[in-house]
Amino acid sequence: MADLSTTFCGVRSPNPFWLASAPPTNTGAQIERAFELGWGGAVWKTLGVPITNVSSRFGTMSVGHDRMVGFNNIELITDRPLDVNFAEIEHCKKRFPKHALIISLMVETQAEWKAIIRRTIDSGADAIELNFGCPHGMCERGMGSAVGQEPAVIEEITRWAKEASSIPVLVKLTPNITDITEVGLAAKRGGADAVSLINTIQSVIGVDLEHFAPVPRVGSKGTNGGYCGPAVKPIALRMVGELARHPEFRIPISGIGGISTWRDAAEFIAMGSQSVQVCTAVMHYGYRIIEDLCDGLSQYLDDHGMKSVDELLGRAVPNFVHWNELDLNYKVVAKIDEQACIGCQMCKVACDDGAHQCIHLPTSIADGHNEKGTSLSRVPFVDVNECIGCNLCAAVCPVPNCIAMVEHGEKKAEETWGERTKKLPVPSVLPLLASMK
Amino acid sequence: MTSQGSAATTCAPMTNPRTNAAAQALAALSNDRSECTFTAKQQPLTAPHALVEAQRCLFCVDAPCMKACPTHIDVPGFIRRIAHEQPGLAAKKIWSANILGLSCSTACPVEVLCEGACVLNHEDRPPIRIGALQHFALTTTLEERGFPLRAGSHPSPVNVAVIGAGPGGVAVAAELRLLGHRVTVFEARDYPGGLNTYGIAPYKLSAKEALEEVAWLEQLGAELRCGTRVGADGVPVEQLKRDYQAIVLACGIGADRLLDVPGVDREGSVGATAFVEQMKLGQVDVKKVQHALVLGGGNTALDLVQELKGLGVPRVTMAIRRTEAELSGYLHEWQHAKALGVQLLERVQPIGVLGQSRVSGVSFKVAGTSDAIEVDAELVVWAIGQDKQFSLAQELGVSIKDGHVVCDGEQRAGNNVWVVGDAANGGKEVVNAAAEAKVAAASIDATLASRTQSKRRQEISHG
Repeated sequence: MADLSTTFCGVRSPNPFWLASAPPTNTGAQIERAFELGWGGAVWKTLGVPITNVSSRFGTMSVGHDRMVGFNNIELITDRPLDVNFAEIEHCKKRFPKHALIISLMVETQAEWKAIIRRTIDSGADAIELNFGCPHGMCERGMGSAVGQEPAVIEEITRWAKEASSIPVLVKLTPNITDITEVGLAAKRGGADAVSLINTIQSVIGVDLEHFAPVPRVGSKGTNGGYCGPAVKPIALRMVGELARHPEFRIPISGIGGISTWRDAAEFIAMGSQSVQVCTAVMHYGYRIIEDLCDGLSQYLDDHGMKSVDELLGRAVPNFVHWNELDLNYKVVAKIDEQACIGCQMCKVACDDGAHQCIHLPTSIADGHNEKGTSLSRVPFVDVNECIGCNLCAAVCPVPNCIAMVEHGEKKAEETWGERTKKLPVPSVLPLLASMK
Repeated sequence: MTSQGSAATTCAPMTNPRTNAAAQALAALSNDRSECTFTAKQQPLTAPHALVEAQRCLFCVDAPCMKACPTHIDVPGFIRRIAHEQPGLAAKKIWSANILGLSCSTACPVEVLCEGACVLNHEDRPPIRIGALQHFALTTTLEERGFPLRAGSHPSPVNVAVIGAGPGGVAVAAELRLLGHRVTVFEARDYPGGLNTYGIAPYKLSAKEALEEVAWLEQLGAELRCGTRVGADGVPVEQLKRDYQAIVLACGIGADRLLDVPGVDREGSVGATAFVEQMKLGQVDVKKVQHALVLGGGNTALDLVQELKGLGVPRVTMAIRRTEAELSGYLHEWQHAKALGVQLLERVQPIGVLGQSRVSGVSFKVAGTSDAIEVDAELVVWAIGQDKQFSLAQELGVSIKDGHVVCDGEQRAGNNVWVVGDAANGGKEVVNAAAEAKVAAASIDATLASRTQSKRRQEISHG
């Protein structure tokens, strides 16, 4: 079995799976239970000046009978006294010395940062994570994403923390910005040892159509919350990748955002995450999912001849390029396996109405049936000369491996848009745009 | 059995005292009917289960299920309404295509119709439970909103006489009322509903459920005259021709056919539909029956053997002239029957019913030999078909061929005479009668009513 053990900024953990700072890491008892079940690390629910939470805190988006595809919360940082939290941290760290225990922090003034970091170090924690990401409740008080949206403030507070800390400092980034590299580089300038991302996305997850208020509804009103869960994974992957490929960045990344399966985790690792943090999937299914996460990742590494997580780390980063660097001469077309087809014609209607009208039905009624018993007259075919290889048909097909996207035509030399435009006259609009700046 | 509440609670208050034949029939039903011992074969879906099941539907294009249904219900369309938590809109879609959608949802052989055509069968996945979803949408709507369709109004309505209040007659009456025409249905028997009331296996559709369906269709305003024969011993055909602009023949086909063999009229030798009728509306006593013989291998026979098993008869045998592979009934029904322990006696032809005062067995000739065998039985049920007699044919000026009334693609059988149901098709499913009724009503409307002013109104009753 592949080696899953991880070292992140000098912090060791038995595997790269950490619990993200959230309700599953609210108490020491919870985290100890998670470690017993096999979690490699945990980021403690954010400590600061304890707050008061509202009742009715979570809202969800279900798609069909898949529940909690998207999840949103309006919960704030810890609502438990600091003394209690620190006593539990000390107990937990003594009991699990080989697990990564990172403490998420969020306070306001430099003096407060200094004081709380001191207590964190004294409790035996391995690292601290600065919560610059919380997009609701705390930002209105000048903390959380209010900090994380201002590169200069990120840099300054990170510097305060670094000055006060003898243990590694992670900065947790908010996705509620335009350019993730701008805030990531600010954290690095402030001295951050690593970053973690993404925090939750500002959202209104639904509207209660009987009470006309956002969900989750608190009495007669609702507010925007922080969005996470499987649905945010694509947003998180892109932000992780943008930082990982940035030549000036080059500090470790702890990836967060919709990770529910070993495959999600492997994708984040391939995109440059040294560790991955999980929350929503645990809130949905419990800590017990760790068994499948570890086994699945190990099996994947074994199957691909990789001996450790490090061999997977960042493998997809060099291939994450700008659109201008894609090969315009690469051509695939859809190929329908007529033996596998069940004749639902989902591909046909999707291509007709949502793509390029290149999937057709036999015009003469075929009398035969395929191996599955589907009438061949219901089995569509692809006009390969018209097909532009968009992948839509393969995406909607309900039968696994029925529609494959295969390379088509003679292989031409690679040519990117960048290369092609060098040969063309400069478009007239570009000087115009330049003159408007 | 599923309870849908009484007609009185699910329908608008009755305004026409003549439109309550079914309600009266319901009130007259005794509570110790033998059919009450059966439970529904198709377990009704709960709301959460219906939601999950509806979400499995692929929403196929040009859906095979829709093509397989004789009434062409927009199956993916109604399932999508259920998936999006508006079963009332699903119900409207179903009833607009098939006015007997509720009885069809449990009585239809979905295995060879919509569910049999579901593309998921091709992937070895269970097909969508279309019948159960249809039943869910309709019963939920009846409970929550009542029957959503309303009678139409027509500036120059046609007066139509319908002969027979079976599935075809009730359906054509309801379809004509939706179009705003005036309808009188003449039913020779005491209860309306025809085979839905008297003949469908009770685990598919009880007499009570059948009458409830007629009761809320009756609220559309057709006049239903039960116990009123048409012909020589009742209302003369000439009078119908005089009083109505159109006549729809929906009389079904004749009584059970029994072979003319010695002893056929002994006590305990009965016709299939007569036996089922007794079971559905009255009581059958099978306590002393150790072995029941059902003669015939069609769908009536297949229902009967399962019904007899359900009534607790220890041994039930189906005796057929040919072989298992040549059974004329549905394979899925035979598989159900086999699973219940029903036995098959192949290649035999009954030549006599044995016994003294009561039946004690049947003697058979074995096909291809000169042998005869005797099989003991305390009950013999004949399920070899019905007499195809149409006493009114000549008077109505319609012709008979191959055991059914000849008609064109619009169900037209003669001058201002239309035909629907078993009389038209020789004996098919309820859904075929519903499909034919829709076609006939449209044809009557197009032929006799002012086309431009015809307007079909279908409104959801509660906004």
